[in-house]
Amino acid sequence: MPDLDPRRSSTWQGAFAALPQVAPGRDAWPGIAARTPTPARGSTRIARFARRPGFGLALAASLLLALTAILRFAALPHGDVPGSGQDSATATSLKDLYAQSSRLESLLLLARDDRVLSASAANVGADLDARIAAIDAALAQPGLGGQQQLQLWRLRIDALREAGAFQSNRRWLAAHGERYDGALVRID
Amino acid sequence: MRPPPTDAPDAGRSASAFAQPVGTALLAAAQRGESAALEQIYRCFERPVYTLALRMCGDRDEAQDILQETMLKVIGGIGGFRGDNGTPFWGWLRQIAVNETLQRLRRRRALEVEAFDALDAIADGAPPPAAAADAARLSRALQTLPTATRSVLWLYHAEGYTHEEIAALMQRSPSFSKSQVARGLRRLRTLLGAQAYADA
Repeated sequence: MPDLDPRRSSTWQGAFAALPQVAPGRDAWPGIAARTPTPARGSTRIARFARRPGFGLALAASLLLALTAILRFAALPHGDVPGSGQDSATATSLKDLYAQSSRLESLLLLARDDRVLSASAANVGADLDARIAAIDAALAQPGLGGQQQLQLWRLRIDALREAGAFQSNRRWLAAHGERYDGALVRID
Repeated sequence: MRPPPTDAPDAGRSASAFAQPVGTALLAAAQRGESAALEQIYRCFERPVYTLALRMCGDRDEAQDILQETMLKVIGGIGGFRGDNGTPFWGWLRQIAVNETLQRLRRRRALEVEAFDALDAIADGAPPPAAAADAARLSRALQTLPTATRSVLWLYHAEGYTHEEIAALMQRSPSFSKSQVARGLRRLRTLLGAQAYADA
């Protein structure tokens, strides 16, 4: 028998306000935290510097250099892969992966400029975003084991590297007056 | 981004579930990017954002996506939040959630409505039927409404937006908002009445 309170039904506002809040089916925070960049120190100074002429070209060059270094590092074998059952080693590796993911997020945020981009670039960017979102959804699943988390976080970092490389290449081309392709599309 | 329409819930209108105070210390920590503070803000607004998205969209997966995108935008923009014009933090956050939800509905053309009915011009000033006090029944009835009608109804009656504000948000006229509210309440009244008979 439902609990009927006549006061609730005296107005539509009251009836709507009495509807219970709904909890999401899964915890979205792990995915959000993973996509949240680490705060940068001196961000005001960076913003001021970013307004200077030639900043775009300098940024594109720096990003390309940084990403090249990261991608080379990624090609190295992972010496700290934890064995199964090594909880503390897994936790340490996960912590490193979180930090690496966060740094890449920050880099990607800098490299990204979605104001105007070609249709092909938008598609490639959207595909990479979808890949990252799918990994985040997998990470949000309850009951993941340490090894599964490690694998997913590595996949996430690979996807972020790919997205970062793509965005910085695109900016590099744009800074040189070239485009990813001819068809421009406006993104709101 | 347009400032939120109301600073505090109107005494004569419903109190939004978003209307929760966020302390200056917590806000400052979140603006510095401290993870624990950001998570606390997320936990505080997780349900209001999800509920708003679910009530408007009617789809759990979509509401989950809206929750995630909204909170990412909130975190991305929190450093720039200054509370200009007395805008409370919750109002700013709610505006992001509403915009994100409407954007998705627009993308899947869910805000298109049926032809105008003459009855839609008549405002429903009568109290709701007793069955509206049953949350489960009211939820079920809401779910059967067209998305546009349900969204307007939710923004107006649950969140306390005015017809003018809804019109601006949905890029329509205030008459559109009024007609959707009238239409929605009329349908709810019928649905709740019919359910009451069915349950009797």
